[in-house]
Amino acid sequence: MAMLDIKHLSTVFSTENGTVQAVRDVTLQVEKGEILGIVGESGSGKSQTMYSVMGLLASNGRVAEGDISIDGRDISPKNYSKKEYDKIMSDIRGNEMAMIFQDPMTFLNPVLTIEDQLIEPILNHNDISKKEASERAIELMRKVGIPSPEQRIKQYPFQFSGGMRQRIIIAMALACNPKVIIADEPTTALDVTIQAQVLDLIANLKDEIDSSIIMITHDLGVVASICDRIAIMYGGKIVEIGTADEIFYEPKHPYTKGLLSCISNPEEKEKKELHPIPGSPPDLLNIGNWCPFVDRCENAMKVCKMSMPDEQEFSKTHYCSCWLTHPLAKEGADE
Amino acid sequence: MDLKKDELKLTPDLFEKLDENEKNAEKIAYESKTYFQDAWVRFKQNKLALAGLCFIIFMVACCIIIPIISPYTYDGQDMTNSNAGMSMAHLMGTDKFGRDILVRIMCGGRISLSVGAIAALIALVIGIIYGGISGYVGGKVDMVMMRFVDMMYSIPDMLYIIMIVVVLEPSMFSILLGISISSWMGMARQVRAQVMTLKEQEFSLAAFVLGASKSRILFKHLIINSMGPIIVSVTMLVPSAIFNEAFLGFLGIGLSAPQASWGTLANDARQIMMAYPMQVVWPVLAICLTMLALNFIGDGLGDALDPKKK
Amino acid sequence: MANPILELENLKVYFNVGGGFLKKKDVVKAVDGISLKIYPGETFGLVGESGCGKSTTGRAIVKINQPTEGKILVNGEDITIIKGANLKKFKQDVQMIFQDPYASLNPRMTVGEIIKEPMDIHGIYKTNEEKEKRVRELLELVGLKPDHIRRYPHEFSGGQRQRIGIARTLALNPKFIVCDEPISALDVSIQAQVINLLEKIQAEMGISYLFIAHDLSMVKHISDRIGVMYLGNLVEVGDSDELYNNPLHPYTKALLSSVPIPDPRVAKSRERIVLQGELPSPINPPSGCVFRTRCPKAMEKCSQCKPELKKVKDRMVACFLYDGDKE
Repeated sequence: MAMLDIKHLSTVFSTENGTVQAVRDVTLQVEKGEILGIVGESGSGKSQTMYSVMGLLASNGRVAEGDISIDGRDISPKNYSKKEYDKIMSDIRGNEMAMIFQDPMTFLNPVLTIEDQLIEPILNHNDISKKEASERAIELMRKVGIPSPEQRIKQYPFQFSGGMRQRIIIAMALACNPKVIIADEPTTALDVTIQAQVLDLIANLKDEIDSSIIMITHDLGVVASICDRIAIMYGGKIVEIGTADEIFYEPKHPYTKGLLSCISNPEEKEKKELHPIPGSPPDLLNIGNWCPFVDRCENAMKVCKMSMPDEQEFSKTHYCSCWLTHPLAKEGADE
Repeated sequence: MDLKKDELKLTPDLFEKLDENEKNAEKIAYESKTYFQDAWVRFKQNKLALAGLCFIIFMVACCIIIPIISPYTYDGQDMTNSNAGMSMAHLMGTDKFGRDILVRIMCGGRISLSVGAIAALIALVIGIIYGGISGYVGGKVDMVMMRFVDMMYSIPDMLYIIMIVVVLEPSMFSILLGISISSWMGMARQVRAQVMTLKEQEFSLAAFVLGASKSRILFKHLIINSMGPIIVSVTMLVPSAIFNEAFLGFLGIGLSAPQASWGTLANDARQIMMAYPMQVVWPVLAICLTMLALNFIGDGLGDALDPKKK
Repeated sequence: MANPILELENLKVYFNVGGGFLKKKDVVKAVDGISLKIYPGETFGLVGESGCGKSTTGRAIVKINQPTEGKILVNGEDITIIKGANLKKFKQDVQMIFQDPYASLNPRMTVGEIIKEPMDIHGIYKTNEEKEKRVRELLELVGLKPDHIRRYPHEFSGGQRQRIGIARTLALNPKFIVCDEPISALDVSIQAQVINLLEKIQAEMGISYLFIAHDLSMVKHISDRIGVMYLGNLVEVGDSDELYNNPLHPYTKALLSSVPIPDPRVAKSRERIVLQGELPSPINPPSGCVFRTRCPKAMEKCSQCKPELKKVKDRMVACFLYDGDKE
């Protein structure tokens, strides 16, 4: 059974100008111990999907539809009253699910020591003494590669560099051995050499802990090195999902293909020409119920602007939603 | 064409290539709205602010029209009908010289409202120039200019308003001068703070790289972009100027009779307050409602022009 | 080779920070003595991590930051002491594209006014019709519709705004453009649009670029030559393919091995050189070679004196490891 199971999730935000459909019918399973990458541009709904799961949506947002369960336990907002849901989620957050944010400084309290902040989740979810919690915190800091943790645990966040702060956030996420760790652009704010350190750390931790990791990012380079499976999101929908090899070497959706051909791979000897995807991402305000990529797709067909394509299976792990892979489309192309 | 899947019959012709013209890749979904149009939409949603705005427009209209159409003038005395109560002939009654109070309130409103508006405008102009230069030039110039503002701030407002009015004889000019001098410092500080944050923004650096002159950068880029908060504080300055003027009138160093502002009207009526309380109530009511309405407008503008709400 | 369009001679930019009443000021050595030449029609990529001084270098070239020492020569003329009509000419010739397309356009001006502004400042067109015509041409050149002229920046997406910014810099027909991280704030699918646009403009108008970025793969794609900066110093300069395929300086090696590769098989099999420690503070940089505190191959000599940027094989490197094999 999947560790995290999301079925037909839709999330909407009400704004001055109308309803924004940030997440549209997303179905996703995360298996035990795997690293799943969710790749998409800003506004593709990749972060909002995970905020919906964590119950962290902004006040004008709500989960309109869908079932969510973690390790068999139902956490769909629609099945509970607001009070019950908040209670369940405060038990689950930090304990069974933890989140790593893009900017560590917004997550760390500047006036508390690292120790205060690290032992808090441990004490909240475990029945142990403060001293034991403190020892556990030091152990965690060692695990995420912070040198001389005994001294540094007494320090304040501003005494750490960006990369070290991100390690502390990772240590906090690990504090209660969560089943699922959601990392929202964990390396975007970091320099390349520090990013490499943090990615190495996440990849190594994966072998030590048995948590599933969901990595939200816009950078295909980041997911290529550490993810087992990759989901590509566009316009609030998952347009393609598959193993890393399937996504990179046998992409089916024109958006995935487009993304791959508009990034430059420095390893390639020949200088290849970049093929940008024309146009801009769709506005999720009053978006039509057809393929969101149609306006930027080179091979768009009439049907693409009439109806949402069904998901098609290419292998046990590889699915894609595109009309171009429909049998009738191939006939049209052959003519 | 938003069809449910089961309604759609898949036929090969649906799989023909979509015409390029039917795509709207570079389309802009919103209709074009300027910043102030956008702010107006948000302002309209604030009912209190809208009510305040309506009240002020109504008040200004009354102040202009009523003295013109009324059969009475503000100084026309009628000793036979002094201290009359409310009647159809005199809606608010008459004062101790038999002058129509409604007309006097409206004429007083002309003066009070224009004192408020003009003083706020003068403070605005001085504040923008002073604060703009101080913030944009920065360094030592900024330090000297701001210490001067601090110094001005440390003297109580009323002290030099009264001094100026007394020295120059009470008149529209001296009252305006006094009030403006006491209220530009806050504006200057605010403009300076705005300019200092905006001048590090990339659009003003871009203007510098393009070769724009200092005054062009200051006025076309920095001041224009700080207009939102500045307009809010101007709106808040108007009631405080009206209040200051009324206060001067009440102290008895306002405009000299028979000219009157709301403050002097209240002061005149004070002497006979025990006998004819309504004569005090009218000017005080005018002052209170106007200040309340202006504060509501200021509040509404603050919300409407606040870029963070976007 | 032709004369360089831009030449930096031992450029130093220091900033005073902190300090105040009775407190000593600290000096941040943002750029600490760099020299380089950029030739007409060339794209020079400047890479390094945040705080290495690459943006400060770019800003010094367009006179936003004043150099503390050294010369900046544009077409042989020192622009740090330039005045009057020459200054005006310089402002036309040298332009800058900014990082944040949301901050670099004045929100209260229409697109037309924004692109027209440089023409107004320099008075290069007499009538309004001529200006309008030119604005429409420029909008078309950057791939926007001419009828967008009356719209405001907030109505556009990030990529579209960046193109408006590019149209504005092109209004003056510049010869040299400093591109300060022009794509790092953009979505992946939009980055390529901007890169291709910059390349197209270069091919048509023969403009030289100084392309500042931290994203090495894009820099490698667009640049002819690359300079690598570390803590205010230029550590290696060379042809972009040569430098990428065969980095010499230990920092360049570490930096290149950290670049994420969008190819799972290569990425998983590749050996990463993970640098130890943190970037030292530019207020108090290490003595000698600034990289020695994190360098896996540091020697005793490295702490004693500072290595000069010297010619090694086909490029310039500032490292004592290559003292022996000078050509």
